[in-house]
Amino acid sequence: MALKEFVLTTTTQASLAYKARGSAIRGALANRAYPRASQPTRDRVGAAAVQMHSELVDDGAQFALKCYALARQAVEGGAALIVFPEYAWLPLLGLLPAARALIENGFTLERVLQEPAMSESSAPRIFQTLAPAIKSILETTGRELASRFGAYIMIGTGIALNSAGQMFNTAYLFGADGALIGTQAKLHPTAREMSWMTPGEDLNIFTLPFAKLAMPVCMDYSFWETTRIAALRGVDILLGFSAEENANEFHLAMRGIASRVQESYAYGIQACGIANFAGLNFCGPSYIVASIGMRRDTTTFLARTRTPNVEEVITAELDLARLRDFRASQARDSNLELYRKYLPQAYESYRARVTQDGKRRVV
Amino acid sequence: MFHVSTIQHPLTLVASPQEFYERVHPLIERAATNGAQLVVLPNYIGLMLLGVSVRAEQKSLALGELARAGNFATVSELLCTAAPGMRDFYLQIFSTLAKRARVFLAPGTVVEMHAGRLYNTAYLFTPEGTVVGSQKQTHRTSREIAWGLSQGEELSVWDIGDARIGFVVGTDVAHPEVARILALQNANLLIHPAAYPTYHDEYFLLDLWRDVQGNQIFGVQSCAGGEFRGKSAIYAPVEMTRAHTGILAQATSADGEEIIRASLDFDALQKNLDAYSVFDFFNYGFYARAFPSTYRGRV
Repeated sequence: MALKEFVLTTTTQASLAYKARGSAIRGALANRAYPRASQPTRDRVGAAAVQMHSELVDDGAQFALKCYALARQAVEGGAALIVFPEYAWLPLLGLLPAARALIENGFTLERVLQEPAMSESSAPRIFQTLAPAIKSILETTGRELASRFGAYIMIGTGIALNSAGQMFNTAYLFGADGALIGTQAKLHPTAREMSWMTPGEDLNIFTLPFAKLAMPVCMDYSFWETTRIAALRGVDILLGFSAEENANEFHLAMRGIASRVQESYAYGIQACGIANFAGLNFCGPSYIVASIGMRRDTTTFLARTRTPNVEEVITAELDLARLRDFRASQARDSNLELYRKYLPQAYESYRARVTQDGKRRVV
Repeated sequence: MFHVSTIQHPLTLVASPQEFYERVHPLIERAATNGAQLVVLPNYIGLMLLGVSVRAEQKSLALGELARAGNFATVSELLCTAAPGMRDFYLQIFSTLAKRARVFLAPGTVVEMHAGRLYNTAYLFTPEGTVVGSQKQTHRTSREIAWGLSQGEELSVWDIGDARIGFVVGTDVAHPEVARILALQNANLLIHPAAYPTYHDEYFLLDLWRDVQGNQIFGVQSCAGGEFRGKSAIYAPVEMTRAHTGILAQATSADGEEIIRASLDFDALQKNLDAYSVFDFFNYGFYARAFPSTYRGRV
């Protein structure tokens, strides 16, 4: 590493560590009002989807305060389980002064990531530089808010680094005592993420006192495989979160978690990020859904944000007793012989064919 | 372009094969006259022929009542007794109709006996009246289990020119494994014979629309009307449809008799996939680790 690059990198990392320091976040969150979340039971839990508007922040404390205000709305609305969006960390791009300046001058994120004015020169390297600060800020914020409100909080996704330097788009779930319950790496990257993201290897199920949860990330819901595996492992509530540009097109959006809860007999919470900077146009609406037929009114929607592009917190009560009754009344057939015959061999045959042809051909 | 029609038709018992023929013939003929190359009919249409075996007053397909009227101990006994005759009539009539109309015909399903077991089976006929293939339903509702139906254990795809057809029979639509396995075998058109008990506007989330979007191929859904509900429809990936609904054509009512038609452009389907194929993002390692072992613990 050249001396200049070494100095730049070291300086950037020191600056990021300072802006992400936990003491500043804890200080900012201290001495505020914390209504306690009503405790979930085996029969019901209040849930919230946070449709969060991304705006650049200067440091972790500013980010935490924004999350505090939204989490408080959720708790005051009756939620004990709160879901923030994918890419909740985007505001933290503001921690890099050069990135902030470029974004404020109208540069797109792609341009920002390639711009020589940045001390790092490629998206993966910039994300690698930012990753420790993002992780630290999300963890401190999630832990503090969860324990102070007494709520279960999925604080959004950040960038997780492993020892080999691989990066994952990872969600963080905190318990009502503030402990990190677990994480989930996104299993299916989008085209935009392919250049930097390593897919996760497995789907985690989190057994909480009131229900089993899974938290596949955004694109993971385009694949029934993800939620079938979750359902077979007994999941009751699917936490979903996205940062998408087409989420306000109803039928396009319905291909995700709203479709998957129908196959899974589970509740689904979809929290969408809103972003209107750096060429990003992420939008909602966010919603909370149940399998059709679970409730008397036959609709799948328990709650929906009023608009796709305004920050809003929605809440709904998830009736877990009703979910159990519904499942008992709707016992489904399965066909192990069929699955054994085709899965996963059919994927491998397809893969071999595509590898040979270069692309999927249906004509 | 490949022109398809789906017929939404109420299921009621008929007293004779002739009556059955007269009920379905004009509809198939009309679809063919309007240019259809493939015509699709609803699930359980073959059960209308139960009225031939059991001379009952009722027109409804309430099988419990029908079994009692025919002095059968169970619905299963009724179906086992009637299945061979129903299947014979079904095959003869639809072979004749495919030949007369000069269309590929997917005339819903018939309950049939195979190796001593009952199956709900979909058939596909050529314009010459020969059978291209048949697909046994692979999953059952609790009612179908009570009737004594068995599960098919294979999923097949058939080439008929540009279209590569796979069947998602009845409640198989609730199991996304079926459409995925067919799509992985390169099906580009799913046929869904359906007979839903209820319907409302969000039911597209439960029907073939979901499979079509998940696999980015075409789908034709034929719903039974009358005492059943559901909107017959012809689906395409959302990106290929006006207003991004994923619907090329759809019945106007959820129970009336209707013929719906649309033209399928397979070259456009390929272009759509060339631009973006969701299959490019499979996590093969994840599936290989989870399937089929995850099922074993639960079924």
